[in-house]
Amino acid sequence: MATAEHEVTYERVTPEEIMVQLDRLARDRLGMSGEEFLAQWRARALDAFSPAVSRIAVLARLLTD
Amino acid sequence: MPSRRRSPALQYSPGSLPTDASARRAAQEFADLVGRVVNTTVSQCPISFHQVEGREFEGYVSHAEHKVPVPMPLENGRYLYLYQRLGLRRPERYLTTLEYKYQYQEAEDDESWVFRYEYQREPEEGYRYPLAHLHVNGALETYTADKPFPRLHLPTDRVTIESVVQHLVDEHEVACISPQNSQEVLRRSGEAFAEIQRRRLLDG
Repeated sequence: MATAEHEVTYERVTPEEIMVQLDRLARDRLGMSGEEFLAQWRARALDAFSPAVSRIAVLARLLTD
Repeated sequence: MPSRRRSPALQYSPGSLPTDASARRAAQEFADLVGRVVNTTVSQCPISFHQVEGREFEGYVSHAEHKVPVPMPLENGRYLYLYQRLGLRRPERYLTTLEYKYQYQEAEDDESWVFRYEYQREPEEGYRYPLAHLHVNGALETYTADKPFPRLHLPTDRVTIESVVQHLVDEHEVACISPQNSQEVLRRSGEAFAEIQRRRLLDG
């Protein structure tokens, strides 16, 4: 029987590390660079409802004041 | 280097958090709570808390790869994208949820989403929908308006991960990992969240 044991990991993440993953996702899912994504997202030129945009926007908000 | 610890008993009632160290402890306890809820019920995937450097204390709870959230496989073969962003707000420096997203999907691909609960405490300027809402990826014969049904922001209260997990167990045939104590974990965790909300109301 499976047990209820669990471990939770605590880590620090830098904005640069987030940007690397944002760039990878944006290229893979939307065919644009991370910088392009951020520019269009800030200009509200993207469809925020799209599952791909919504997923990447989660990371974008971590890079925005 | 990530640090790991096994969760103690459920305990999340941080109140005011004057230092970043106390905020970090509270966030860790919250992540422990989420990890326990998830790992005794719907998924064996590890849960992480990532603190974002260079910002006033802020971080997120999720199942992560390369330090960013990804959908996690569930015991029924489907996936759940779980994301909770936490930060400090108000002069008292309460740890609060700034954003959440719970997205149930058929496969790892986001396009296979079935429903998603979303919340943003501080949305972008011009946002005009309920801060907490639900999207359902379906069609209704009785719904004939122009706006596609999945794009509707169906208003909700703030939804807890416990209630989403309970729903998955009850209605999506997710077999509990640890059925002997899952209901107790869900109940105690839900009560802890309700107590936090009650204290906030009393504090005004």
